[in-house]
Amino acid sequence: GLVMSTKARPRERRATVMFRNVLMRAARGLRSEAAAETDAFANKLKFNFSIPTATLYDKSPVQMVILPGSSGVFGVLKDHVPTIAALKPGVVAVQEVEGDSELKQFFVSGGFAYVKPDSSLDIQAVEAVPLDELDVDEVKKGLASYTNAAASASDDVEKAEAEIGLEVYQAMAAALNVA
Amino acid sequence: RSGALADESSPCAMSLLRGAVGLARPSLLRPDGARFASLKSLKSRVTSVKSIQKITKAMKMVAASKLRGAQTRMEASRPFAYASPAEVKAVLEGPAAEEGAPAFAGKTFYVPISSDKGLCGGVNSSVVKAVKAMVQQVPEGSTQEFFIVGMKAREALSREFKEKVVASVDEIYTKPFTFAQASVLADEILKHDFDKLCLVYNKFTSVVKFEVTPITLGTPAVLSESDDLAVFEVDEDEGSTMYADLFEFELASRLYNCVLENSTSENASRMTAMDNASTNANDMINKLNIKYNRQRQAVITTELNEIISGAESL
Repeated sequence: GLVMSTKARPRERRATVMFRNVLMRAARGLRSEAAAETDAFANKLKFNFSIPTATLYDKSPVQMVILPGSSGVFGVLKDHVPTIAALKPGVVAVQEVEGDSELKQFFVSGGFAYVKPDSSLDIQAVEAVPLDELDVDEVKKGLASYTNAAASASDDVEKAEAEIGLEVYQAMAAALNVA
Repeated sequence: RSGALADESSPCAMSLLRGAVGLARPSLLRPDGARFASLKSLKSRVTSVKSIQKITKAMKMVAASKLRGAQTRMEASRPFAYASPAEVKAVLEGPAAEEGAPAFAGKTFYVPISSDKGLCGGVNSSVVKAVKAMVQQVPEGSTQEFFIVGMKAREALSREFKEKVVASVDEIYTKPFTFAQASVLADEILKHDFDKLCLVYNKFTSVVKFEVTPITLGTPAVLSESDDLAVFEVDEDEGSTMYADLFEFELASRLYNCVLENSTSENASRMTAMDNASTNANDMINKLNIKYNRQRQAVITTELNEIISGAESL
C-alpha cells in the first residue's frame, strides 16, 4: 500500500491521493478488460485452424463453422459436444459474425477436427486454400486426368492413388460448382 | 648457443670460426638455417589459419541466414503439431513413468533425429548419447530397434548397434522439409511392430538453448483401446479406422515438428560453433604473429652479431 508520512505537507498529500485514484481507475480498466475477453467468447466459438506451414485462425471468436466430416458435412456452434472427426476433401466455411451471409470458405484436402471439452474447435488440415484461389481450369484438367488414371490403373496401388486424386478433384469441382 | 653475444672489445674465437665456416659452407650454419625455416613455417601457418578463419566466418553467416528461415517454419509448425486435445495427447504419450515402477520390458522403437552435415557443435552427439543411455537402462528381455534420420546419427550408432538399425534416412535436408515427407517417414515407421515409440530430437528454445527431448508414444492401437477418450463423440461406423488414422496423423505431424526443431537447433549450434572457431582462429593468428615477430627480430639480431663479430675479426 501507500506509505504516507504523517507529517506530509498539503501538496504531497494531494499527490498521493491523486496517485491512488489513478491506480483505482487503472484496476477497474483491467478488470473490465478481463471481463471483456471472456465476454468475447461468451456467445462465440473459439476457433483454431492450422496447416503445417501456417495458422489461419488462432483463438479467434467466430459464430459458426461448417466442416466436411468424413461421414457428412456438419456445423459447429458454441457449446458443441466434444467430438473428434476426420475430414474428407471439401470446404470449411466460417461465419465470423452472427447474421453474416458471406462465409469465408477454404478448401481443405483432409485432416482432423476436434471440439474440445472446453468447447473450442480445432481444425488441423494438411492443406487449406481460400476457395477463390482455386483455378477453375486447373481443376477441370486435374479432374479429367485423374478420371483417366483411375480408369486405366493397372494395379491396386496405382488405382488407390488415382482414386485419392479423383476424390480431391471431384470435391474441388463441387465446391466451385463446376461440371 | 643461438644468442651467444660476442664481446665487443675482443673478437671471440667462436665467432671467428663461425665467420670462416659461413663463407665456405653456408649449409653448415644450422642454427641460422633452422631459424629461417621456422620463420617460413610460421608464416605459412598464419596464412593457413587465416584461410580457415575465412571459411568459418562464411559458414557462420550461412548458418545464421538458414537459422532465420528454419525458425520461422518451425514456429509455424508448432500450433499444427500440437493442436490435438490434451486428452488425446495424454493417451498417446502414456502415463508418466513413476519412480520405482517396473522398467518397460518390450520392444522400443527409437527414432533419433540428427543432421547430415557436421561442424554443428554438440547437437548430434547429444542425441546419440541420450539414445545410448536409454538403451543401457532397459532391463533384460527388452529389445530395441532404430530408425535413424540423418547421416551423423547413423554413423555414430551403426558401430555399436548395427543389428538394431532397421532403416536410415539421409538427405532430407537438401530441400525444405514438407509435411508430405513427414507422412512418408511415418508410413515407413508404422511398417514395423513395436510396443513403444521414442522420438529423440533437439527441441529449440532459443538461439543459445536447445535440449535433447525424447517424445514417447504408444502403439497405433493405443487410441482405439483407451477409455479416456469416451468423452469425445466419434462417428460410430468410422470409430476404429479413424483412431488408427489419427495415430498416423499425430505421428506425422509430430515428426514434421521434430525435424524442423532439430534443423533449427542444428543451425543455431553451427552458428555458435563457427563463431567460436573464428574467435579461436583470431587468437591463434595473434599468438603466431607475436611469435613470428620475435623470431624475426632474433634472426636479425643474430645476423648482426655475426656480421659484427666477423667484421671485427678481419
